[in-house]
Amino acid sequence: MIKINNVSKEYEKGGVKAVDSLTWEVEDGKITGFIGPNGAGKSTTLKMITGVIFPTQGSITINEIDISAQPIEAKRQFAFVSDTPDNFLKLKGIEYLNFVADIYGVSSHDRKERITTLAERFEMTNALNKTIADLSHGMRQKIMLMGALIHMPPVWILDEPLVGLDPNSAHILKEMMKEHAAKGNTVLFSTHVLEVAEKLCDKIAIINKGKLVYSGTLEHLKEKYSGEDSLENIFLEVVKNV
Amino acid sequence: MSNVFTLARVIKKCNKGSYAMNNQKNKSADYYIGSTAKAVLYTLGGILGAGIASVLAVLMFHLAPELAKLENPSGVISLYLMLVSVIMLIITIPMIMSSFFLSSDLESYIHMPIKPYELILAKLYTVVPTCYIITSVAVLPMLGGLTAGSGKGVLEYIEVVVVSLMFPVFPIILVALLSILFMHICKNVRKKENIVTGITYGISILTFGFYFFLNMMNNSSEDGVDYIAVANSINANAPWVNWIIPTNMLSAQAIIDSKAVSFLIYIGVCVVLCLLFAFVSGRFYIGSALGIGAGHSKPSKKSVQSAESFEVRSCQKALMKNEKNSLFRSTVYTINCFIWPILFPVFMIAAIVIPLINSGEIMESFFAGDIAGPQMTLFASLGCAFIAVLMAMMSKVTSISISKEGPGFFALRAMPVSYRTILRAKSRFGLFVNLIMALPLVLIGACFCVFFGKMDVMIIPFAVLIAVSFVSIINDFQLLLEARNPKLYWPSEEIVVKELRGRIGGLICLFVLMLYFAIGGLGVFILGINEYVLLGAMSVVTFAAAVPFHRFVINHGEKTLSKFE
Repeated sequence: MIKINNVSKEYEKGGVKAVDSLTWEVEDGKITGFIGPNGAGKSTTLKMITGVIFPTQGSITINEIDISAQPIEAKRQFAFVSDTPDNFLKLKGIEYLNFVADIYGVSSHDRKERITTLAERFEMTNALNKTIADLSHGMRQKIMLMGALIHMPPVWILDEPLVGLDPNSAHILKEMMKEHAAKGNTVLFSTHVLEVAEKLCDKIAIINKGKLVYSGTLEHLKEKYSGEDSLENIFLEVVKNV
Repeated sequence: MSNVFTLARVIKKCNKGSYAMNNQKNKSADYYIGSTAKAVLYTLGGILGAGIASVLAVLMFHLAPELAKLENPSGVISLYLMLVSVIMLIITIPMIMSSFFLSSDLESYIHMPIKPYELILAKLYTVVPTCYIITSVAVLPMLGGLTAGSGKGVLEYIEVVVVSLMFPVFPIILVALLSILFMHICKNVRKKENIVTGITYGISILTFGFYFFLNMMNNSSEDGVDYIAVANSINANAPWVNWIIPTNMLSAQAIIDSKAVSFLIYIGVCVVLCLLFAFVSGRFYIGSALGIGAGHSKPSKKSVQSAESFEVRSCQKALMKNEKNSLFRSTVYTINCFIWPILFPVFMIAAIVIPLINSGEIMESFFAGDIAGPQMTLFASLGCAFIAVLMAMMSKVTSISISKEGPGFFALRAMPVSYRTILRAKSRFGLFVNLIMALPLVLIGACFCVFFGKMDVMIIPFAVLIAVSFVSIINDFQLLLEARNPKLYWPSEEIVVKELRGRIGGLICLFVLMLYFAIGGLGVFILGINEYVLLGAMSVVTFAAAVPFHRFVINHGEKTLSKFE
């Protein structure tokens, strides 16, 4: 579970708040979609949850561990995939996976098994010996996903994970997300593709101009905006009213 | 042509000698070095350049009558101009190769309605300021002083200005043509960066060889080499040398010999060169540039299981391995972190050693053990440590260790690894690499003194201890500056290595080393203190400073990095 308690983020003192007094709970056993217009504060929120940037106020806990007070322990609880997979470009895919496995303390036997399984699922077996810089965007994304999943964390935090993935890999990832949530774990991902959110998510959170404007199930959202026939129209209506 | 200037502005801004930025908030390209520091540097550079130009102008003014008495004065001037052209070539080769060969921005422009020649001119425009700085320091004052000293007319002054304006044409066009030809030949090469590494190694070796040759020549006789006599000799025996760069001989004849025909031919040759370049570049550049291998590596025939051992490492070892891979797999980092740190001390030491070698008496005394004395242990030890300090000062292994992570640093931040562990890994890796580079030279120097100079064997341990301590301090100082202000936002690796602050720690240590020399001299010669006591104290003090300083850097670095956004 992820608990965000009255979190704000100001990049400049007295300036515009990128995230404004956000209070939110991401439940276990559910896939939560995090959607919002460009510049709404999605990535900022996800980066604060993962400890990449620090909130100006408020607190964030992951499985009851405060990310500010106990960052190392909190970071062991989740896997984070950022929206840009252009990291560690000089490493080969397999080197990156071994590096991540070393950081998270995955045993030799487990990492070998998981790398082999993930590589087969994502059809990356032949690409693991290539340098990440030589891979396409989609393949880099897959490497980052594999790195995130190698230590089997209870919480998945994914920032636009489907961007650049081919349909087969996107389908595989969605299935994996469902399997992970079904085991009682937490999946939080941001996306711009509302159809995916509609089909995949158990819960939706909509953010606009740094404020959480809706958090709940899709059914409840549709009831609330019964005049609209699609999530896209509902979304446009929701953000317009802010 | 308006496209050329628009493009040149954009290319210059995108690849600007601007330095990396430390965060997304601060977009100022001046932030890294600071506008005040930049202004100071430019002012100092301007004063130095003006000084050199003035000295050259005055010298040539007074030499002009003597030059007129020579058999072939234009030949002598032509050789000088050729030397300047060669220097300009050496300096522009990496710049033009980088702009033509290594840059990947062509795809951004190719779909726009831009003519190939406009794009090429815009790219060349980025090297023009450097060429004209060289011209204004080394060519214009020389020709101007010579013309004034010879009492020439207005026409010759106009020729001086025109020649100076057109002087960079030949070197720039030559290098650009060679680059295009090179790109055309290497179209199917996958790893183009390896080619640049090879070329840079080659140029470095040639430059050093040339420098070594000049030094040997200059020191081969008591009075040094009479360059004018050498030039006369070349003109007499091999006049074709003057025509290797024909524009130089033509311009020299126009100004020195007042041959108007030569001047007209000079203008004509420059125009023909430009037209030739326009034709060749327009025809071949785009195709050659786009045809350069995309760098996709071949699929490995090894399976994943056999290729990688799945060996488990500690966090720190995993981070150090990451450091090694990211450093050694980048041509830019390899060149700047390894080649220059090794070459620079070698140049410095060669400048000191070669005159000594040529001075037979000193070397005879050295090998006879006459120089070895009770005081020499201290100075020899410090001298050997000096090599290590020079090398560590030039090394960039640690001074770019955080910046080169780029935005990937934030990916590391989301992982369960403490900043302390990250900093320790970078410090240890940097220290390891710097010692690998420095210690062999220190040991060679110390052993040379001991076994050939018949000096005290205690030079070896003292030199090593002091060297290791100083290298550790410099290494940690570079890490401290990096942790306080990492520059994570950069468009290319070339921008990352353009940092100068890493020298600060080295300069401080150099100053301390000079202080040690002074203290050594004072203690040994004036106060009569035993040199081993002094050396021991210096070693202990340096080592004692290195250890707590390392701890301070790790602690302080952890605090600053944890707040960094």
